[in-house]
This record gives sequence, C-alpha cells and structure tokens, in this order.
Amino acid sequence: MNDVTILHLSDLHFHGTGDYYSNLLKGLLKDIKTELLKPIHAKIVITVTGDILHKGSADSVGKAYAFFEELKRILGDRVIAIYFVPGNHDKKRTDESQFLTTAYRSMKNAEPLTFDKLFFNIFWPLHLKTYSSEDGSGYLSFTKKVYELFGMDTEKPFVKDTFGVDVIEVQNKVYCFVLLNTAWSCKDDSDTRNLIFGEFQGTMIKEQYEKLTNFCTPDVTIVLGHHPIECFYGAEEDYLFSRLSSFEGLNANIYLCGHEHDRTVINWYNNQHSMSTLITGIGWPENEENRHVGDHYYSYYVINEDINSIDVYIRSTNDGGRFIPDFKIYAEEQNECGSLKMPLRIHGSRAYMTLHSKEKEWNKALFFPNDLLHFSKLYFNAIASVNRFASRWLEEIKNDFYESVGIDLNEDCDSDNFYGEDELLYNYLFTRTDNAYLDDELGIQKIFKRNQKIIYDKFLGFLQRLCQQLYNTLVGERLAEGDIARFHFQYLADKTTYNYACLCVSFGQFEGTVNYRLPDMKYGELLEIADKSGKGMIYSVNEHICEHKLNQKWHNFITAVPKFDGNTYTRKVNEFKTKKVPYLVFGVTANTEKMDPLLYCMDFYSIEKSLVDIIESFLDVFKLDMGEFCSWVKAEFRKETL
Amino acid sequence: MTSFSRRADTLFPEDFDISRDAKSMPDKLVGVKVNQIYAQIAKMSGKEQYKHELLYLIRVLEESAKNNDVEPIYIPMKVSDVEKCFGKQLKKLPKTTFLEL
Repeated sequence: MNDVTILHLSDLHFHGTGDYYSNLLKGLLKDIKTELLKPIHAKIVITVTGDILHKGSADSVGKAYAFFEELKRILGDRVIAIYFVPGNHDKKRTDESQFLTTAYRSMKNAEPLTFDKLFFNIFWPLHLKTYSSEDGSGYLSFTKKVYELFGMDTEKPFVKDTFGVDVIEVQNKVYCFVLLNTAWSCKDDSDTRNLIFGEFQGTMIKEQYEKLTNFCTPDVTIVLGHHPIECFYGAEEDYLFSRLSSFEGLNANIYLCGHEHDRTVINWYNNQHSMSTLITGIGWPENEENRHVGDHYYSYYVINEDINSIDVYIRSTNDGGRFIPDFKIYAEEQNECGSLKMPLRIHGSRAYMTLHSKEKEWNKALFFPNDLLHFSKLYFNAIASVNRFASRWLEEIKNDFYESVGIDLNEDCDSDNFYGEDELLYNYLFTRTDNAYLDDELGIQKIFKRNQKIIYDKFLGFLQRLCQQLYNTLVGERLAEGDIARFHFQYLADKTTYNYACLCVSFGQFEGTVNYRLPDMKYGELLEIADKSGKGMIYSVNEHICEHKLNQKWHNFITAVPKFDGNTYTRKVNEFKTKKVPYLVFGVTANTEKMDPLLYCMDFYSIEKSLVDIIESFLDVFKLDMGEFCSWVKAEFRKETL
Repeated sequence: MTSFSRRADTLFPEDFDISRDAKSMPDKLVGVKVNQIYAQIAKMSGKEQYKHELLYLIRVLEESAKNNDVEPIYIPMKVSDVEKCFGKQLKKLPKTTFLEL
C-alpha cells in the first residue's frame, strides 16, 4: 500500500519576466512542503498537465524554472520522476494555428491511409518550433532543463516530441505514464469539441508502449493530457478513448488533466475497462483581462494498487493564501477523512449488495449510496456488541439459575450421597466438559424438567433483552420524534392455523405508547419465503409478491427465520405429507425510511445467522423444547393477571 | 463435600413480605434482577391493564442505561413499585430476583 504519490500540478500560468513568482504559487509551494513531506509520501511522481506558461510567452520561462528548482529543493530525493505535457498556453500562437484543424481534416479525408505519417514527418518538426526557444515559447528547452534537474533521461522521445511513454518500477509494481499532446491543434483557449489528437500520435504512443512494456500489461497506467477527453472533436474522442481504454490499446486506469478545472469530470467504464479522470489546476493569473479565478487547485493522489484504490487529496485556495482540502469537483459533501477514496478499477469493484427475493432473478442490487458503508460499520459493531452482551447475560442467567435452584437440591440431597444434585448442576453450569457421563446428563435433565418454568421465564427475558439490545445499538437515538422501529420475535401460537403472535418487542423512547401490540401474522408469503430460502426478506424488495400490503402506518419491514436446532414444528398433514414451520421468527418493522439501510444490511449480512449463534448459546446450556415453550408462553400471555 | 452458598443479601420470597413492606416503607429500595425485568416486560406487553407498570419498568431500564455504561445485574426499585409490577407473581419468580440494598 501507499505505493506511490502522484503530485498533480496544472495550469500554473507563469507570466511576466524575472524569477519572482506570485504569492499564490509561493503559497502552493508552502502547502506542498506541509503535505508532501509526510511519511506516507516516500515515492513521489510529479505530473504537470500543461499551461505552465501563459499565452505562449517565453518571458516567464526563468520564473517557471525557479519554481521547479524550489520544488526540487523541497521534495528532494522523494521525487522519482517528473512528467510534463503541453497545454494550449505552452506553444507560441501563430497564424497557421487558425487553420490547422481545418487543414488537417480536409487533407486526412483526402488521403486517409498515408496522411498521418506524412503529417508527422513534414509538419511536426515545424510545429515543434512553436515550443522552441528561438521561435516559440521556450517550452521544450524549459522542460528539458527541468527533466535534467530531476535526473530524468532527456534522451527519451517524450522530451523532444512533447508526447510519448515512460515506464517506471515502484515497490515492485510497473507504472506506465502515457504523455499526450492534446493541445497541438488548438487555436486559442476555446477549442472545446474541436481538438484533434491525431492518428500519428496514437500510433507512435502505441509503438513506444509495446516496446517499453514488452507486451505485458503494467500494474497501473496513468495518462496525462492537458484537455479533458471530451474536448476533442467527436471522431477524435472516439479514437482516443478506444486507444486508451481497451486491451488492444493502453488499458489506462487514470487520466490526469487540467485546462478546465472548475468543472465536473467524466469517468469512463464498461464491464471490462475503466478510466477515472482526475482534474486540477491553479488557473489564470489574477488581474489578467480583469479575470478573477474563483478557486485555485492542486492535487495529489496516493495509489494503493493492492487494494484497488486511490486516495485523492485536492487542495484549494480562493485568496492565494492558505490551501485547504476541497472535494467539490468530485463530491457534494466534504469528506471528513481529508481524502476522497476512489476505485482504481471501477469495473473490478462489486459496489453493491444483493437484496433477496423469492427467485434469484428477482433479487435486487443495492448500489452503495454514500452512507451505506457507515451503516455497514454500524451493523457489524452492533452485532459484535450484542454478542458480547449476550455472553454476559448467559453467565448471569446461569448464576441466577444455580442460585435459585441449586441450594434446594443440596438440601434434598442424601447426606451419604457424595455427589449431590447441586454439585452436578454446578459442574454442569460452570465447569462443564464435553465428555459428561450419561448419568450426569440424565440428572441434569431431571433438574431442568423440575424447573422448566424458570428456564422458560429466563429464555423469554433473554429474547426480550436481545430485541432491546439490537434496538439500542442499531437505532439508539438516531430516530427523530415520531419515528418507530420495532425489533421483535413472534412465536407459533396456533399449530393448526399457523398463526404467529408477538413474543417480545423492543421499546423506543419516542414511541409514546408502549401498549401497542404487533398484529398476529400467518405463515405464508414473505415469512414462508424467508423460512424456505433461509434468508431475510424485506417487504419493499418483495412487495410485488405480497398479497397483503403493509399497513400505511408502517414503511417497511424485514422478516427472518433463525434456523437454530429445535426451531421447527413438524405437522403430519396426511399419511404422505408433513408440513414444517418455525416456532420462532424474527422481524424488524419501521415507519420511517431512515431504517431502510439497516434493513438492507440485515438482509445482506444475514441477521438470521447472527441470531442463531446468540440463541444457540442459550440453548446449548438450557435445553428446552420450543413447542412446550410456545405453549407456556401462550398460557402465560392469556392470563388476565400476572 | 463442596459447599455452595447464595449471596447473603438475597431477599428470599419466604423472607420478603412485599405487602407489608410496601405499606410500612414504600420508598425503601430493593434490587431487582434485570433479567426478570425484561421477562416481565415481555409478559406485560400488550396487556392494557399493565400499561402503567410496563411504562414504569421501561423507564427504570432507560434510567439505568443513562447512569451505567454496562447494564447492572440488579436495578434499584421502590418496594411499592416492586409490589405493583411483581407482587402477584412473587412466589413464581426465581428465588434470586430481589436483593436487599
């Protein structure tokens, strides 16, 4: 993890003469010093996606170089590579720029097979003059000097051509950097939907890529271009995208760009490929053409290839002073972690949970909304907490049971009998081993049979407490006044009609009336599907198969059958057929959509299995017949007075 | 032979004359086993005639939760309230339900 940090600078727009640069850029260096010298940024690659200069002016090259000298001084040996691509401001604007795109298109149409090669051989050397020190902006000599400053090999094609490919190895992973010149065909600052990429560029990049990667796909491929891809002319955009994002092409993972850094980005993916766009930029100088740039950005990204993620840090300033975290390009809400997490390969992420239905093909996929992971965490912590509490309750119940019945057993014991029932019970409850003698087991069974009602009472209290603990940990004070969520168990109250009545239900502080009783329900519909499939069933997911619609007072519910040993009533319907239904069923009913994410978690993470573990921990000690327990409950609940 | 003993402060049903105590010292506090409060809540739920007792027991648990990070084994209740909530069941309850405080 923390394989490499990509420092992304763009649109620095150095302007004016001398080596003095603005307070904004001084602030930028200061912030980089604070942020990038943290220990996790041990290996840094600097990427500069164009518009280093302003309006192709060679006057500010010295200033730009001074900036990168200072950057080198700050980051030192942490920097393992630096890459530049030119922007529309980095070439000298010439008269031929005005008809370049029109000329290219018409000549290409006339000679589609041979034109690009001729174009590169004849026109490209002329075009490079717009980047030269003699006749152009000085971009080429500037970048060469900075490449030398950072120890890069200046013989590599991208240094002289402005585009190309480089491959580096970081932490045993192969990183490929693809440098595009997206700006060569631009006229000025407003070329959206009119730019040409050029087949010549695509072909040469592909050749370099294959040579450098030796036909093996790098672990991560990062493409640098000044313009967002959708700035290209339609056919060029298609060509570029097919080159970047396919197995036959570059299989790129990330596209870094600038140019219009105050806009939203477009990410590209299908079921086999994905390419995330990351955009940033400092922006035009203040007071230039009475322009005020709202926010100035720079970014850095930590690539975690092992876990398929990128930590995206975006820093912005509005006044040229202090930079602060700012994620509004990518997210509606500011991220409390200080970084935005993005998948490196979206197509390799299964960012949804399955919500179950009667038939597999009816299952629904809940794509993770922003808050679902929060609820997942809440759910797991709650289940762990309930398990911990349940173990404690069981110890209390064991002590309680022993204290209630143990001494009486001792009193009844024959004084000549060394091994009295109380000791038998004590050993069973507190020092039990798996290889108990059969006689001991029979003795314990007798004790339990004599004290059955106490055990039923304890089990009922245990389940009530379980419902309440689930409520407290999962819902707690998260609901507002008027919101209701009820965690409940229902029991098989009628073995003929398969009617289920409320056994116990959680209570909440805002519910006002506590004398509300959940209505009885019959075996069938969602309960039957939950029972037979062994999965929790959510009403809203399965509404289409429910004949009985939910009372308007409620919003949603989940029903689940904990399939612990003994939780099945088998009735012989006729000589050949039996019907099996559960004695106890679990459910959560809510009148608010706020509970929906938790219901989804209960379905996906199988609440019924967590309940089995908890209930079996009780039944493992206190063996009880669920049929007799249900009969006892029914009799107890029928009593007018307790 | 190993000897086992109950907690010395357990209020056994035979020693706990709840009607008498409720009259003579209604505000006296006794500890009530939390397990048993939950079982009682389950039994009272849905019985209109126990609405007030049910509310009372729920409040007792909520108060206890506010004051304790970990739910205690016993929660203090006034004898008069114990009589209202458990009085008629006293003999049927586990013998360690109540504790002298």
